[in-house]
Order: sequence, then C-alpha cells, then structure tokens
Amino acid sequence: MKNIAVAVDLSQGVEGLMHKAYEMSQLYKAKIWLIHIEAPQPVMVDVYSYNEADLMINQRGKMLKLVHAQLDIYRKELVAEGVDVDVVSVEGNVAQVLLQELMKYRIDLLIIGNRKHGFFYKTIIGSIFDEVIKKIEIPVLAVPVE
Amino acid sequence: MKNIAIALDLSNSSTVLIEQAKVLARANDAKIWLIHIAAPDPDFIGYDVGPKYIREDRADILKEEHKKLGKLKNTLTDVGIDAEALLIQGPIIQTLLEEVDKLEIDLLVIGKKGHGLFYRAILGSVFDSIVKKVHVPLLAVPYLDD
Repeated sequence: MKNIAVAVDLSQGVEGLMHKAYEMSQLYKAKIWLIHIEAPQPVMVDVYSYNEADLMINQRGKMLKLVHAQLDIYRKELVAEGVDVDVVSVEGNVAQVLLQELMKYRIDLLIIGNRKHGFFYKTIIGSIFDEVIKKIEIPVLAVPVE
Repeated sequence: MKNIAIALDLSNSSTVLIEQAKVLARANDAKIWLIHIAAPDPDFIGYDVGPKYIREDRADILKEEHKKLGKLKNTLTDVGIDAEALLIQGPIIQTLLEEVDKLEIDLLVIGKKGHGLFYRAILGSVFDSIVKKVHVPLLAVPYLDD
C-alpha cells in the first residue's frame, strides 16, 4: 500500500480522520493525499443584481481561501510528523470527481468520515458518502465521526 | 487497536479480507476475531417427511461452515497471530453489530462485492445497513464474486 487518500470535507471531526490517516501511513510507509472536492458554484440566475452576483463571487473566493488555509494546516501537521503529504483541491461533482482523483493518483486506500446524522443530512450529504462507497473499487476505511 | 473483527461469508474470497486484517493485527499486536453469522433456523418446518431431511441438511451446512471457519483460524494461529473463530446463528446485521459491541472491536473488516442488481437488492442491503449502523471504524475491502 503506497498511497493513502483522505477525503477531507473540513467539517468537525476531521482530526479523527487525520489521526487514522497518520496511523495507516506509518503502518504501510505510505504517502498521504489530502483530497478536498468543492461542489461547483451554483449557476447565477437573473434575479441577482450585478452587485449581489459580485458579492457571491467574493464570498466564495473568501471561503475557498479559508478552505485552502485549513488544508495547509493539516498538511503541515503531518509533514511535521515526517509524513509525505500532498494536497489536492478540485472543484466538481463531489463523488464523481473524488473517484476520478483516486484513480489518477493510484490510491490504494481511501479514508472517509462516516457521519451519524439525521434525515436531512442523509438525503443531501449522506448521498455523496453512499455513492462513493457503492462505486469505489479500492479498500475504504470508514471512520465514524460525530 | 486491540481487537479486529472480520465478518466472513466463507466464500473463497474470504482470504482477501484475512490478508488485510493480518497486516493490521501484526502492526498493532491485535487479536483477530473471525465472525460468521449463519442464517437462523426456520421457525417452523412442518411435520411431514420433509422436516427431518431439512433439519439434517441445515446441520450439515453448519458443520461444513464450522470446519471452514476453523481452517481459516488456523491459517492465522499458525503464523503466530492471536485469533478466534465465532459461528453464530441469528439475523445477520443485528447479530454482527451486537458481537462488535460485546467484543469491544476496534475495527471491523468486511467484504464489498460487485455491483450486480440482484446482489444489491438482496445481499447488498446487508452491507449498506452495516455501514450505516456501525459505530467503529469499518474497513470495506472490494472483492470479486466467486
């Protein structure tokens, strides 16, 4: 096992995933890929004035900056432990793009959070997890996070 | 990680799961529990000529499964890994999750088979339910159908 990927969504509980990833990378002497997929920006519709559209683009820019800063913190923490780490941040259909990236980097193991949530979460976000689990062709370590 | 459980259906691909668990058990000095949940006996099988036949058939299947499980256990103990085999009759999902709790399992290794519609409708739902309900890290390993 040479390449381990962590699907990072930057919500609470990521620390648990990072810890597992660290353990597994030590065990297999593997490289860690932190993969974050950002859902694409919603298509603008006419009801927005130009100002509002501008505002949305700005906000998204700010959010992406925060995301990248956070990914970099995780990267540095792992590098400090002597792990070989790379960060991948891509925009697109989350489940589909994640699976593509796994192929591209020849990932041997995916570590992903398994969230226990209510109905709303399950229908919207949970479906990404379900889709990934169903379609993936490599071993997956699903770590429960609260 | 002290206790690793493998949920086995005793198909030929079971060794794929065992190989994965072996590496993890060695690294963590953990014990491996080989768990096979056998379908429960039918509640009522009638008074006709059939029943004895069916009962004996069931007993033969269980004996066969018991033997297979023992063999798999020996492949682990032979190489110095602490292992124990459990053959339990009961509803699959509930029984498996109860054992995971009872044995204080830290990692559950489970097979994930192909994508056939029939399989997904019948057996795939077992896998889905376990993924949803389990409270410990789960390692899902894809393998081919026999």
